[in-house]
Amino acid sequence: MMDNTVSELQKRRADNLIWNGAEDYSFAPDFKAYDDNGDADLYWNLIFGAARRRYDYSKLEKLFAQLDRYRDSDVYESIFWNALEPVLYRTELSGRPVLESLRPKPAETALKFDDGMSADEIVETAGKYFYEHYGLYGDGKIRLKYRLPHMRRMSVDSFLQRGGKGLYRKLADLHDRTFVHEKGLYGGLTVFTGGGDSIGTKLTEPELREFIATKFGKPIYTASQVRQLERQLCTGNHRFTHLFYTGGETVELSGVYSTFEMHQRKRQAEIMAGNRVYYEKNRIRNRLLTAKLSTSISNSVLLHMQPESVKAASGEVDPKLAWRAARLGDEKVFRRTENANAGDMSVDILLDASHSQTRRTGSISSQAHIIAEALKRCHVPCRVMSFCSMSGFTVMKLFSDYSSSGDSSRIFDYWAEGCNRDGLALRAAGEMLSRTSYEHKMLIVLSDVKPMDIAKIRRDERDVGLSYDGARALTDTAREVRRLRAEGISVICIFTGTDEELPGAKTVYGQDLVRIRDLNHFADTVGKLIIGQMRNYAM
Amino acid sequence: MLDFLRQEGIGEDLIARIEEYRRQWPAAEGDRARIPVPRFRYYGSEIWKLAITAILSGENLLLVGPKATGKNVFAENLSAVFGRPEWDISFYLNTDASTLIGTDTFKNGEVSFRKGPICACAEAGGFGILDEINMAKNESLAVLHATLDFRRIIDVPGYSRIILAPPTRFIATMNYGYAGTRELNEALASRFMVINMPVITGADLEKLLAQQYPSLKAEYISQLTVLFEEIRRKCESSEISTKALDLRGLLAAVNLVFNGLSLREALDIAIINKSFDGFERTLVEDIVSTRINGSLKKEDIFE
Repeated sequence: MMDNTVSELQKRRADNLIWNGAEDYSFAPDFKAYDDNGDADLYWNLIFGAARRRYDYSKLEKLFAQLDRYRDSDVYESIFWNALEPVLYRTELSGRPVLESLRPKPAETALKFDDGMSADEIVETAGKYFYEHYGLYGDGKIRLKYRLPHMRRMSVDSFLQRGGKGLYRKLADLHDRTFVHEKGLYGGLTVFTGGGDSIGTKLTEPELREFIATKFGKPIYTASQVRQLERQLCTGNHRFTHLFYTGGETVELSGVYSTFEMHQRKRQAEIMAGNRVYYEKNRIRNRLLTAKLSTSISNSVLLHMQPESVKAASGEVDPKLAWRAARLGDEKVFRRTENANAGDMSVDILLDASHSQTRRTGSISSQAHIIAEALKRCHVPCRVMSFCSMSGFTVMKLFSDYSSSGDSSRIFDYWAEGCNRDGLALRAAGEMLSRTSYEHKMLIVLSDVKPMDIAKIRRDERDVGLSYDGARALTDTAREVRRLRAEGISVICIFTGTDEELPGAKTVYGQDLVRIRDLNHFADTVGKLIIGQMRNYAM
Repeated sequence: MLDFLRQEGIGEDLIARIEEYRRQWPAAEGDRARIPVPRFRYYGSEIWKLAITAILSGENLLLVGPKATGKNVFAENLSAVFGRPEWDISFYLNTDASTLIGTDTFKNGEVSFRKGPICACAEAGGFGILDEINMAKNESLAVLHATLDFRRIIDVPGYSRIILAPPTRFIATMNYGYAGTRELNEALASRFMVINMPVITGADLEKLLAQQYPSLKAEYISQLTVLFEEIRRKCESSEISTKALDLRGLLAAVNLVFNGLSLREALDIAIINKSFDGFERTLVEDIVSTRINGSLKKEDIFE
C-alpha cells in the first residue's frame, strides 16, 4: 500500500494495533500493514506487535537496518516477516485464540525459523539465508552472481517468478517504515528565515499602508476610523507609530513589490500548510485535549453560573409561599433552581506573530485552535487575533470573531514575521474589548513576551528616541497589562518562549502565566488557569 | 461475608473485633432492609485491612480512585461486613444543605422538618455513602464539617441538635481529575481517612468474573480479563478516553451473553459503543476483534 493513500487515522489505528500486540506504548512502530482499501490490517499489525514482545527487537532492528541498505529491501523484509509469522502465530495462539480466525492464508517461504529460537538465532538464520539465496553481504553489497535482476533491469516480480520464490503478493506492500512518512510530513514545514523589517522607511504613510495591506491583507477599517483609533491609542510610548487592522483577506498583487511578494506569499502558504500538517499529525491527541479542556471549562461554566430560584409547581417547598396552596389554590408553592445562561462571558485569544515565533507556528496555532474549539463547544464566544509590528505599524490580524460559527481552522493561517510591540498590541486589543458588551472578558495571550520594535519611543518629531526593547519594553507591556486588569479584563499568558525569557514574562503577567512544557498536560494547565479566572467572576 | 474476609486473608483479630462491633450495635428491626447484600465482592486484602481498622477506630473514609476501581462495591461491602444499614447519597452540582440534612415541608397544613439522608443515617447509626463527593460545591458541604469531625453532631437551626449514633460512619467516594469534578477542600478532606483505591488486578478480576459467573469457562475468564487490561493500557497511554474502560459494562456483557446475545454483540453494546467518538470506537473495536471471535455464543463460553 502506498504511503499517501493511507489516511492519518488508519496509520494511528495501525500504531494502536501494534502497541496492543506489544503490550507497550513507548515506541514508534516501524512496520505497519494495510489492506487494499488502506485500512489497518488487524492480523499483521498484531504480529508486528507480538514480535516486539517476544523478541529483543533491537536485534531484529539491526537486521532491518542491514536489509535497508538494499534497493529491494521491502522484498527481503517481506520474506523475513512471512517466515517469522508462523512462529509468532503458534506462540501467540494460546493466549489469543481468535488469531485462528483472523489469520490469512500463510505464505510459503524457503526461510524457516524454529519456535524456540532467540532473536540472535533468528537474525543469524536470516542473514545466512539472505546470503545464500540472494547474495546479500549485509553492507549494501551483493554477491556477483546474484546481481542479475538489477543488471538486466528486470522487475522484482518477474525475478521472483523466475526464482520461484512464492512471495505473498500482499506483503510486497508491507514496507512502511515510519521515516518515509516523516520525511513527507515535514516537507511542508520549511522554516522561514526571512527578516521582517527589510523595507526602508522612506515611503510615505499611505504607501506604507498599502505595502502592509499587500503583506497582511485588506484593512477592515476606513482611513478615518483608523485615524481616530490612532489618536486614541498611539500616544505616550507609542507616539508616531501606526495601527493596522486586517481580517487577512488577500490583496491582488500589483506594482513593484509583486515579485518579492509572490515569493513571500508562497512561503506563507507553506507555513500555513505546515500548521495544518502539524495539527493533523497529532490529530487524535489534539482532539482528546480539546474534549478534555471543553469538559472542564463547561463544568466550570455550569458551576459559576449564577443559579436562579424560580417559582414552580414542583421542587422544594417554599414555606413563604405555602399559604397560597391552602388559601388560593395556587400550586406554585415550590422553588426550582435554574442555572442562568453563561452568555455574559467572552474570551479573546491574542497570538504573538513576531519573527521569534517562526519556528513554533505549528504548535502555537494548534494550541490556539484547541482553546478556541473547546470554548466554542461550551458556547463561550471566542475571538482569535494575532499581532506583529513592521515598519512602524502594529498589525492586528483577526482570524475569527465571536460570531463566526463553526470554523476555527482559519487559525492555521497564522504565520509570524516582523517585530512585536506588545504594549501597543495589548492596548489595541483592550480597545477592541471595550467595544463589546460582555460582562466578563478574558484575554489569553500566547507569546514569548519579548517585546521589541524598531520604531523607537519618541517624544516629539525631532527626538531621536529610545529603543523599544529590553526592560523598557517589558515595563511598557506590564503597564498595559495592569491597565487592562484595572478595567476588569482578565489577562492570562500562555508562555511560548525559552528559559531566558521567563523572568521577563513573569514581571509582565505575574501569577497568571503558564508554561506548556508538555502538550499532554495542555488541557489541565490551561483549563486550571481559565477556571481560576472564572472563579473570580463568581466572587 | 466474614468467611469471605478470611479467604481474603484478613487476620482473626480484626474479624473478632468486627464481630464484637456487630454484637454491640445490632441494626434496628426497621433498618434491617437497608443492610446491603452485595452482589459483587471486593477483592484486595490490603485495602480491606486499612478500611476495617479505620472504621473500627471511629474514622470516616474517603475512597479515591479512577474508574473501575470498585469504590462503590467496596463501600457496599463494608456496610455488609459491619452489618450496618446503608444510606446512599449521590452528590451532584446542586447538592446543598437541604438535600443533605433536610428541609422544611408542608405537611397536613403545617410546616414540618423532613429529615434528609444524613440525619436519618445519623440517627440510625448507619453507614452513609457519600458518592462522588467532589461533584458538589465545597460551600454546600460545609454543613457536614461538624458531622464528620470529633463533634459528631448535626445542628439544624430551629430544631434540636442531632447527635450521631455511635456506630455511624461516612464513606465518601471520589474520582480525582474526572471530568466534572472539583478539588476537595482541605477542611473537608482532613475529616476523612483517605484510601487510594488501586486498579483491579488481573487476578482479582478473574476471581470476580468466576464468582459472578461460576459457569463461565476459565478460558474466557482469562480472555475477558486480558481484554479489559488491554483497554486499560490504551487509556493509560492516552490513546483513548476512559469511556470504554467499563467494568460494569464487562460484567453486564457476560450477563447479556447468558441471556442470548453473542459475545461480540454483547461487547458492542456494553463496551465498544460507550466511546461516542468514531475513531476511538474503531480503536476499541480493534482490541475486541483481535481478542474475541465474532461467533462465540452462550454455549461456547459457558460450561
